[in-house]
Amino acid sequence: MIKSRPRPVSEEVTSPDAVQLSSVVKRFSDTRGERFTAVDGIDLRIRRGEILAFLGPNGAGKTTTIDMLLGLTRPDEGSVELFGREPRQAVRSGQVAAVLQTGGLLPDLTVEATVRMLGSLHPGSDADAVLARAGLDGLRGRRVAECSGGEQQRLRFALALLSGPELLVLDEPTAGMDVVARRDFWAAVREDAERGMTVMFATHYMEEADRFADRVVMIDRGRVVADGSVSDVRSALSGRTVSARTGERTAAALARSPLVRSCTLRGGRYHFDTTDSDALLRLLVGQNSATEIEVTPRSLEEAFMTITQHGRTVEEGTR
Amino acid sequence: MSAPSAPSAPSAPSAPFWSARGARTSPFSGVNAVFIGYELRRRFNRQTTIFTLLLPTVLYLALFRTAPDDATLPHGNFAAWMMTGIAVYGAATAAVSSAATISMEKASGWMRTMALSPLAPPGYLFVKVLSSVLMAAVPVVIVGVLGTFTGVRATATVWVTSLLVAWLGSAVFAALGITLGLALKPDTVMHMPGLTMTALAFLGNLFIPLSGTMLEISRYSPMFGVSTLARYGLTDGYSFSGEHSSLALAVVNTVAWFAAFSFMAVRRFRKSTGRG
Repeated sequence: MIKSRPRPVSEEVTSPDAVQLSSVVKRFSDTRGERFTAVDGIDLRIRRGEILAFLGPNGAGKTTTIDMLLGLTRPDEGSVELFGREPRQAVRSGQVAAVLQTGGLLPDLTVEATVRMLGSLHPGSDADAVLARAGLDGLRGRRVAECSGGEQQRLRFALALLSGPELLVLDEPTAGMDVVARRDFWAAVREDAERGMTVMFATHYMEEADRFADRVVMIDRGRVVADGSVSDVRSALSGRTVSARTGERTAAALARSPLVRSCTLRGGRYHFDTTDSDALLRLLVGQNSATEIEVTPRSLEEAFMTITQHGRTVEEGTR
Repeated sequence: MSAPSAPSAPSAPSAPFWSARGARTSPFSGVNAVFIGYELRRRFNRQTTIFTLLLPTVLYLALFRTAPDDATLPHGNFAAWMMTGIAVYGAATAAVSSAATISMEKASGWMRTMALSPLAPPGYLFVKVLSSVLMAAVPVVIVGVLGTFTGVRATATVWVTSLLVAWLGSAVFAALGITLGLALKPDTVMHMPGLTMTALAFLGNLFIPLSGTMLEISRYSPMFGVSTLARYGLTDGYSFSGEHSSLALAVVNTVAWFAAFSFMAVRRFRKSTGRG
């Protein structure tokens, strides 16, 4: 599934990285006035031309990090630089563009009016070309309020293209889209990425990270818990799950085996997360109490759960 | 998504297909004619336009003959006094109607889109004020035309200055409209500005000639300054019951309220770009 694309990566020492987050911290106070830390010291460097997937469960701090990256909120500690500039400058000049998760559009405008109105703010932008690239030619006259979620998302994408950005930031761009809309959306993004644009996208969908990104950064509870190429992260996460019905004592004994990374009880079955399923199977078959044994390849979703849970128990273990 | 190929791209990522990065930051905080055009088209929607036209017309026709018995004015007649008052009220109501569009912009996250665009905050506020002031011209012209047909008598200077001040004075309420728009939710914003304006108009000595304690209170209200300035040429600052209001105090009132509303608008605006 991993397509290796030749991507030109700038070697110049003089050209700063696309993104440089240094020990960024953001705290909020909730409704009862209690302080909590949404982003707890994130360091992140994105080189030019990289396509980076930003993963994490809900509430991990993805959107807060993106808001700070775009200069929409100020970090309490640490610093943010985009192409060596202040985020707001880079964003306002159109060097950096964003597709935000929801909202951001006026329901009473038509698709074309929205693109032309915002396009007027970027001298030299080509509204017609952008409409075509985002596949919105047939929807020019439709009011935003009447567009589906996927169509609105393509409109946000079109708006982001107006300035011809060097870095595109997408915050869960395909949330709420059906499979076809998601595929079409990524096809359009990929086309632009192949021109050398740097892309950072936050997503829930492992599959999207897997198919589209060069590099994966996972965060959980405001910290980076994994960072590496897609294949690194996949191999770190590789393995199988062996599950069976068995007694509590047997399960506990097996869980202590070095083959087993973790053990959970779900629906009356013990699920063993293992690096060597064959060896574990031999052990398990020898146990008379074990029945209905199953071996399943681990989905990235499960792997993701393991990594974030691991990060929770063994603090910063995977860093 | 069938996307035809876009402008050809040089391969090096450090020099993307948009070359002159520095030249791209738009002048005048990003304000341009196309943007203003769309903004005006949104603003002059049917509902707001009808409301802006109809209300001053009906009020003027209802009130221009309601002169007190002893009404005498140095430089014109009571109809001129009422025409000026309704012009101030109409212009203020038109100007404050930006609240409706702004409230919707805030609710829909458009402010965040603006925050990510080259349109700098002063540019955004400028466009809002400009469209408010343009919209405020509509009721002023209508009331002026009605005035000529309903026997308004005043010197030429009074005609021009009163309507001009009524129009330009709407800037005070354009600032108020931005504040209300940022402060209110879309479902309440439909009625609040209209009601506020009507209340301020009564309080500001616009519809019914005030005197005594009411006039004393009135002096501190936001519409008093603009209406007194607009009518100064007509009345020399005297009410029908003979109380005098100085030009200087009317100027102070106008400037103070304008400063107060602008301050609130800018403060609200700064807060509004974050996540809801």
